Amino acid sequence: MKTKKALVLFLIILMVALPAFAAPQSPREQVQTTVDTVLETLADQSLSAEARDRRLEELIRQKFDFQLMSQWILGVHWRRATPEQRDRFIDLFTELLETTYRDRMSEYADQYAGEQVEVVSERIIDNRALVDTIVVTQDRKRIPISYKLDLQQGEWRAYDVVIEEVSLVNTYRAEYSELVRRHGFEGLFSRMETRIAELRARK
Amino acid sequence: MKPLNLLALIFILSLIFSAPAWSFDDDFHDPFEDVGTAAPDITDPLEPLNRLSFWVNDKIYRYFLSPLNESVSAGLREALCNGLSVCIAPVRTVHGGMEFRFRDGGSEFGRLALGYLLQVLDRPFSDGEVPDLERILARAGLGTGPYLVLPVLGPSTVRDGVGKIASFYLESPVALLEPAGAESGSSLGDALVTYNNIHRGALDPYLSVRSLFSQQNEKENRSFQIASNSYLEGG
Repeated sequence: MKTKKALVLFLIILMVALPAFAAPQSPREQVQTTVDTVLETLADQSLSAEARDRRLEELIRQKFDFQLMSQWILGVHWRRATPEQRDRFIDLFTELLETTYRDRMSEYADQYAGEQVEVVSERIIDNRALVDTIVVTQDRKRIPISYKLDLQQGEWRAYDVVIEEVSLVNTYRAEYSELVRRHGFEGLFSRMETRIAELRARK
Repeated sequence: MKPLNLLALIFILSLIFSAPAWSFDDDFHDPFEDVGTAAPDITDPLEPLNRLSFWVNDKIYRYFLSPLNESVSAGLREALCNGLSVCIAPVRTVHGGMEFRFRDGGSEFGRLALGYLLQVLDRPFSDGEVPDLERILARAGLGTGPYLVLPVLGPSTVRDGVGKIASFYLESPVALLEPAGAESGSSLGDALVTYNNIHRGALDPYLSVRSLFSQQNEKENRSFQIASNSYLEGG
């Protein structure tokens, strides 16, 4: 059961990691391709652990819209931030997210047990899209996961993941906005740098 | 201080401190903001005390329950749980009897007693609905009140904390040992994995867990409201 939970979390992060395609795809198609890519990567026994992790990391960096995520996470503080503070936050947040999930990838990729992912629907409003999926575990438990995507230069990139109605961005937002309110941007940056260093030291 | 006096004090505090601890009023537009639970306002005037409880719980989860969960076999874990259940069997029997009657919808005595106490006489319980105290208080129209971290039992609100404490005496404590952020109904092992993952990625785990709890709580309240309205409309 622990394995399945871990795998679900792993898939959540990775399903948005679709490589760019020359031909424009619908959000649904793009997520479906992402799912297939991730599952193929997980099942590919010819890849070394390092190669597999590197490939997944590249996909994540390509397909997360870190600027939009940062904007939403900081909320009102984004408008007050200087351009330098915004850029610094985006860089630190990108690095923190990658560092946080790097070791989980290795851990979870080894536990992949053939779970299935169904892409069930899509909704598009202007340049935003919502794609609903269902992860079906081996014991037939169905876990709803939704992806919020933003269209930029012909490519859909994820700015939030919602698991059973709990939003990844909302969770970060509540924490980070409160830290900025209490400690200012420098306090937040300092904590982010400390946590990145700690996570790196764990490797 | 007697437990009941403590609960009364917490209730009073919940009425005094009613302003939200934070709010977001930025103009970021998300056309799908109805998907996923928006970070709801939750007051946290007891934060210093909550952080103390959180610190204690964190040590229990990480340095006692996690190693225990990893080192003890499933069989032994089950035996330990059963042992705890047997120890509190007398109160469970009483509670079980009441619960059975509630579920059958036939206990005028139980419903009247609690209804009188909480002034919720007009709404009978539906079949299969376990009338835990949290739900009864919610049905009575009480708001959730401030955020509250209970020692051992974990994140809650004042309203649900009262119900949780009551349940602790009536049900197996083992069933209540779920850190926030874990799905309801998940096993202790799953909950601990979730908790450790939250802790690993958070800058301030207290704030992160509070946010997760807030979203999870909002989601459950919404589901409860939908089910309740459906029942009352005869659906």
